[in-house]
Amino acid sequence: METELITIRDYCVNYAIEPSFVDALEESGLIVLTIIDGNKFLHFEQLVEMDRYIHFHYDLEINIEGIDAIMNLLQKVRHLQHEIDILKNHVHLHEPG
Amino acid sequence: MAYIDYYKVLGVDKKATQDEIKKAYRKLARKYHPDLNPKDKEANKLFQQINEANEALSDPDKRKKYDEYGENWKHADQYDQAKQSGGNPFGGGRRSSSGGFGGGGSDFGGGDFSDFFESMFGGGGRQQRSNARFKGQDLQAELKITFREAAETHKPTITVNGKNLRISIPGGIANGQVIKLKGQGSPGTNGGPAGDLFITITIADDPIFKRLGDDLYLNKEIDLYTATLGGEAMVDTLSGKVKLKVPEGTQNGTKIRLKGKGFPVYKKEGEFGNLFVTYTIQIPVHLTDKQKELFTQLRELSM
Repeated sequence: METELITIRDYCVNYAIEPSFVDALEESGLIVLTIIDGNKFLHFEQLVEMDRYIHFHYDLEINIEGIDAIMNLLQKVRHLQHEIDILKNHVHLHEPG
Repeated sequence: MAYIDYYKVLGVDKKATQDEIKKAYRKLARKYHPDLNPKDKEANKLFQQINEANEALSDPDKRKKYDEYGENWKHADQYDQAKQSGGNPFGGGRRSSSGGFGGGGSDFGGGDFSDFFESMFGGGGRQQRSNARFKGQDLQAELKITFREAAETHKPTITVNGKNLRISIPGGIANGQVIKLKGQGSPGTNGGPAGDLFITITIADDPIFKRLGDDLYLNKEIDLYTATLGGEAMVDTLSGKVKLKVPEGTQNGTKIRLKGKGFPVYKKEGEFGNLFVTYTIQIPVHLTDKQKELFTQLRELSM
């Protein structure tokens, strides 16, 4: 079976980032690492999420606390967008034609 | 293809230092980054412009070329050649293909560069951190289907990056819903997994039905006489026409529910929403003298 985990060390080498950044994300609760035999791994499913954190931190210079706040706000934005979509559908229903 | 003032895009002076350019770029990128502006096409577009301006101005060589040619960018190649031979910069010369800064896309997936950029610098921007990418890039695609197609599971073939893919779209899919095809994005590097393909489904409106979730809605016009005296009405459903009994004294706006005649429930075999039919009663117009007389009689009888 294909392994779908990558060690934090390999991940950091591949993405040219410091392991302390991954630790900080874990400490803040932004990511949950998989621990097997004392080794920490990231699941492939988490790579997209990690990409985003890397952009925020390394390219936009946003610190971990900022990323945490952004993620909370984005969740709210998505929730509001979903509500808008529902409301739009209701409005559409009452449009003539 | 128009000249783009990259300094204006970043809101910096032409004499701005690299540090000032970097700061301006970061400030704008924090405002318009696609990850911070979900589903905002305008922000996405602005981010591409900002990204492109940064690509041009943060690289000293590119910036030098851009500054030198400015609005005469169309003559950049002639200018290069003339300069090398010491002649008049715009005095002729063959236009050759622009060269130089080939490479991949932007670091942020800022994506495409303008024709102006491509023409001046010959391709996409530098690759930064994305060089080190392990998982392949996710791809986005959009698929437009008809209302009726959305009502049945169907398997269209789509072409993504020159590759034909047969996908399955379950009946009952919602407008704007995204289907994820794992591993159908760009290939990974260093043994990393391929990216995923995300297909956003757009469903066209139907001339008869309106949809809200799994329920369908339609208006049915019935004449005054059927509404008053009772009768029958033929109504469209997804599976064909059905005959409805209209009770006497049906009021305008009366809504009836046809259970199970709505849209299929997504990924729930055999389950369907409801169809709501709203009666709109047509009031007769252009009455003949005889009709007017009879209506008048009716009014008098009803008083």
